[in-house]
Formats: sequence, C-alpha cells, structure tokens
Amino acid sequence: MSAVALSCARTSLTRYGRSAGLWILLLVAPVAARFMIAGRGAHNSVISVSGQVPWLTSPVLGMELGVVIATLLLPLAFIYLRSNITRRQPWQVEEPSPGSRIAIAYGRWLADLALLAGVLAATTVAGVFLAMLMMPLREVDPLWITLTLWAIAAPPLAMVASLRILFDARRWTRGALGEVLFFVFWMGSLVLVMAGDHAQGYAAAMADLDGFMSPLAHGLHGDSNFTIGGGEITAGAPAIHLDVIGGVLNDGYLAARLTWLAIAALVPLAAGLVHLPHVVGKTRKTPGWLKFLEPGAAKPADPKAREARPGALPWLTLLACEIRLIASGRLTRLAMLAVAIAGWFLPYAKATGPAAMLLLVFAATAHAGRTEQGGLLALTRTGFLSPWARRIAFVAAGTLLALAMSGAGIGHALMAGDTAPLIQALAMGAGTSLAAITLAALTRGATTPRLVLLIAWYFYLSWGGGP
Amino acid sequence: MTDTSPTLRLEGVTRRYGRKVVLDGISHSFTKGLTLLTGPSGAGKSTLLRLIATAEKPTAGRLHWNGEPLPAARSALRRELGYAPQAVELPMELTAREFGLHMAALKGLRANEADAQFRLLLEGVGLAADANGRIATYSGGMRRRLIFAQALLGAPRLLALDEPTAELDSESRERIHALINRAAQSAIVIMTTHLSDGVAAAATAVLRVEAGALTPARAGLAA
Ligand SMILES: Nc1ncnc2c1ncn2[C@@H]1O[C@H](COP(=O)(O)OP(=O)(O)OP(=O)(O)O)[C@@H](O)[C@H]1O
Ligand SMILES: [Mg+2]
Repeated sequence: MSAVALSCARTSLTRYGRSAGLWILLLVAPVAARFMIAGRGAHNSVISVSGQVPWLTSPVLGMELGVVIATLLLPLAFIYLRSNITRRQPWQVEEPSPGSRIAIAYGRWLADLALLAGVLAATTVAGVFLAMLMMPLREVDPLWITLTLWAIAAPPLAMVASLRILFDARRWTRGALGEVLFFVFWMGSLVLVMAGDHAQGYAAAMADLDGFMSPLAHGLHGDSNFTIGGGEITAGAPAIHLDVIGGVLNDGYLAARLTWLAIAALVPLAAGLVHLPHVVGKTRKTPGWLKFLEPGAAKPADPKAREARPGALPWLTLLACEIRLIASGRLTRLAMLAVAIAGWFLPYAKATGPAAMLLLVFAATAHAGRTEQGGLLALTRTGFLSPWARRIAFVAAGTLLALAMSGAGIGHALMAGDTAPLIQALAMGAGTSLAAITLAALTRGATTPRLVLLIAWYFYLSWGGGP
Repeated sequence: MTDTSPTLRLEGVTRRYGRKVVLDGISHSFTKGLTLLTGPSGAGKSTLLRLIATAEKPTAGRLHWNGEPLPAARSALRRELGYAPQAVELPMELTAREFGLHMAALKGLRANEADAQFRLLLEGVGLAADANGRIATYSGGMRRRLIFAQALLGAPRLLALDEPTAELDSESRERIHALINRAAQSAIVIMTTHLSDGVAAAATAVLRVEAGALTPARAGLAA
C-alpha cells in the first residue's frame, strides 16, 4: 500500500479513536440486538413470517443481527462517518499536495472499513453472548452466528463506507444532497428486496444488497409474507423453522456477497478519479432568468444613520428573526409559498402536508446546523438573549411556518368541523423543529438531524394521515 | 535534481468570481528570493496565492513552472510546493506532530527524515514543547505557526505563504522571518503581508495587488 494511503488510513483511525461518538457506534448494534431479537417462545420479533416467530437457532440469530444492522445501523454508520470528525479535512493543503486522490480515497475508505469491521465484531461478540442467554448452551454455535452475520452485513457496511467516500468527492454531494441520496439508496435497497419475488440464485441474490432475504426465504413458499420490525404475530401460532444455512450455502448467494464487496472496493477508485477540489465560495454565475433569486446589490449606507437602540419587544424580534432565517433564500420562500397556495387545491394529508414537512426539514436543519456551531455558540452566549431563548424561538418559528404552509388545508378542514389537519400541522411543525434543534445542538451540525428527519418524513409520507 | 534556479511565470492570468473580476490579466515572472505581496484587504492577494499553489485554476491565462506550462507541469510544481493558506480546517483530534507527518506523507517524503525535519521546524517556530499536544488545544497563533511549519516540509522550491505572521507577537514573527529568509536563498518565496516590518528589508521585490493588477511597489510600503 502506498505511503499516502497508509497515512490517510492511520490519521483517520486516530481521529475516530479520539472521538466519543465511536463508543456509541460500537454499542448501538449490540444494545439494539438485545431488544430486537426474540428468544424461544417470545410473542414479538424483529422478523415474522406469515404471523409466526422464527425458531431461534445460531444461524437464525446471525441473520436477525444482520437485519438489525441493515435497518438500524446503516444510516447511523453513514451519519457517523460523515460527521464533523472526518468531514473537517485540511483540504486547503491536501488538495494542492502531490498525493494521489485515489490513494487518499483508498486510505480513508480502509479506515472507515476497519471501523465498521470493529462494529461488526462487537455485534458478533454480543450475538454469541445473547445466544448463550437465549438458547441451550450446546446449541450455541459461534461459527454459524459469525458466518451468517458477516455474510449478510459486511457488504452493505462496506458500501456505506464507499458511498461516503464517493459523496465526498463531488461538490454537490458533499452537502445536503449527499444525505438525501444516501437515504434514497438505503430505503431503495430495503424496498427493492422486500418487494421482490424471493427467488433464489445469483441474480436474485445480487438484487439483495442487504443480504438477509435469501437466507430468510430459503425453503419457504413464495407466498410467505415477511414483516420486519413489529409485524402482527398470530396468537398461539407455532414458531417457524427457517433454513438459514441452506440459504447461505445456496448457490450464488456467497458469490453475490463477494461481488458486492468487490463493487464496494472499486468505488474509492471512482471517487479518486472524479474528485473535484473544494471551492472557497460560490463561483458559478447565476443564469439571467434566476437573477431575481439573488440578494442583489447592497443599498448605500446612510451617513446620517444613528446608533441602533434596543428593540421594545426583544422576544418578538427574535421570533421574527428565526422565521426569516429558517425561511432564508428566495428559493425556499418561493417553494413555501407554492406549498401554501397548493393547499387550496390538493389534499392536505397526502400531498401538501408531506411537502410542507419536507421543506421544513431542509430549511430548519440547515438553519439549526448553522447556529449550533461551536464558535458561533460561544459568541451568542455572550449576547443579551441566551441560546436557550433562541432555541425556543426556533421551535416556535418552525411551528408557525408549518402552520402557515398548511393554512389552506387547515381552513378547509375546520370549516368542515375537522381538526385533524390543524393538529397534524402543529405536531409536524413542533416535532420537526424540536428534533432539528435538539439533534443539531447535540451533534453541532445539520447532517444528523437532516438524516433522522428524512427517515421520519418517509414514515409520515407512507402513513399518509392515518388509516 | 538540478541546481538551476526555479522560475514561475504568470501569463495573462485572470480570475473571475461570477461577474466580479478579481485578477485581470496578470503577467509576471517570479524568481528565486522573497517577493512580498501587499495591497488592501479584498484586493485578491489570497486569490493570487491560491492560483500559484494550484488550489484553484485561473479563469483565463496560464502559469509556467520552470518553463513548462500548467496543467501539464502541475504535478511537477506540486512536488516542489510549500503552501500555507490564510486558513486551514485543521484536524483537531491530531497532534501537531501527527499532522506534520501526514502532510509529509502526502508530499511523498521519507517518514523518518520527515519526522526529524518536522521536529526541527516546530522548534524553529517555537512549538517544540507542544508538538505532542492536540491541535484542538492550540491558540490561533499556534495554529498559524503550525500551518507555516508544514509548508516548509521537504525542500520546497516554491513557497506560497498567506499572511504567515498575522496574529503573531514580535518574537514569533522574527523566528518566522528567519526561516523565510533562509528558504528564500534557494526558493521562490511569495508572501502576502499587511505589515511593513522586518522582512521588507530582505525582500527582493514588493508587489502591490490592487484593482485586478499587479504593480511594483516601493519596499516597505504598507497597505
Ligand atoms: N470564492 C469566491 N467567490 C466569490 N468571490 C470571492 C471568492 N473568493 C474571493 N472572492 C473575492 O475576491 C476578492 C479578493 O479576495 P482575497 O481573499 O484574495 O483578498 P485578499 O487580498 O487576500 O484580502 P485580505 O487581505 O483581507 O486577506 C474579494 O473581493 C472577495 O470578495
Ligand atoms: Mg487574504
């Protein structure tokens, strides 16, 4: 390995090792496994097949751990890898260095891979420990727990590392778009395989990046009905025996897992080749027809301007400020206005409500991420109103914006005596802004709140205002 | 390695940001020795250094390194470049020494020699005692000295230094001037500054960036 790649890998690992978040990430999967995996005779389970709980064996446990990782850990791992620690790279001096971008990409990727392998190892140890608690000791087989878990979870985890390297290579995906793309990719990988026909063989296994469907469905009828995460368990139904070993050893499955690993290993090469340097600021010219979105020229200063005096209503001023800053930029304001107007014509629960939430998610997390940065926080702490006042005003402002965007829908419904949209808009606005500011304050950035809220938005959309 | 003097030539270099023309067709040949760039804040000094350090591409015009035009000669230039930008997002969790070794690896230097040289450089800028302290614990001036020290790693024949002595006390400033003057004996050193102190006397040229143009200025003329 080149000295450049080695140095990048070593410095990245050192930086991960010195951050507190690492220990949280190492603990997430083991702790979640404890709550998501059902012992024998349990009445709920992370996976159920046609209303039946799977009978717990070592390979089944390995597979269930794989499901925990695919559903829960992938987005968390992505957030963590993209968090402040390694996003703050000294690119100002790295990019003009003679070091090869491909070597740098591989170095960082290897560090991320080693970190995720550590997470997987911790989950394996936890799995063996859980097996000893939940199963007769002589049936505990650490080898099968390890083999199924790693066969299922290693490729998607490697892919998370690869995507994060790839998204760091281009200007657009370094920012919010990268989170959206990952979210789409992750949801897509789950939806694709759940909607598939559970066929066996290499091609079917290749469609299943998360890798748990083939071992799960092996030897079951095509019409079996899987649910993941809180499915209905038929009372009194017997446990179902799953042939996970058959699924893992089925022809094509392991070959497909290795193919996915190989694809993941090629992504850093692509990232190195398409790398675009950072820019200090905006360099692209705004096309003429979008000129009205630009802030325009500054007004000349008035030489007779006097010193500003404290406002009479500081709280109200703060609230107005927060509204203005969340809805900042003409593009955001135009979009919000469009949603508010569309409310006259489109149904609230299925169309304008989710649209309003999506806009609020982006606008609120961007502003929350900006204001919760360490340096700025130190400055605002010295101000007249405390950061807590600003945070409260932020939540109020977010709620008011949600109400404003939903005004038409709420009005229509209220006239028909239906308060549901009002309550929904209130809950959506308050919940979104509260989550945005809390997560932004905890993580000092916009990435985590945005990804978490996008996942919440997905559930809001698929819930569509209730049954 | 040849012992001919390094040359850097700018030919009609223009840099625009949107509609704003920051540098307008600048032509100049830089030779061995210390060149100071002065000029009012916002005139384009940092922009010019970014172009020279290949951190950005000119909108129009060309750079020539040792007679070869960029981008063909870009990697040749980068192998001999030391660059200290005005601000760097430093990896806060690393120690100064770890950061220096990482930069040395990116420059393709031998690890053990780079370690020895970086120790010497840290001592030169007065950071020897804090070499194993996390960058997160460094003050603003200490960070600036660290950024300066990493630029000197290897034997750069082109040094682009963006206000290396801003925010520093006079003692630190003199240490840095001594290192700059020594480097300028064999390298092209281009340095921006607002101050008309110490180095001005040793400078081979003082240039002024203003209104998109690069013009010779009297030595010691402050912005
Ligand atoms: N990425 C960018 N996008 C738009 N304008 C930019 C960008 N970078 C620099 N500028 C503009 O270019 C001009 C020159 O900036 P530069 O940083 O080079 O000035 P400077 O001479 O180094 O100033 P200072 O002495 O304050 O460091 C400024 O007017 C700035 O607004
Ligand atoms: Mg500058």
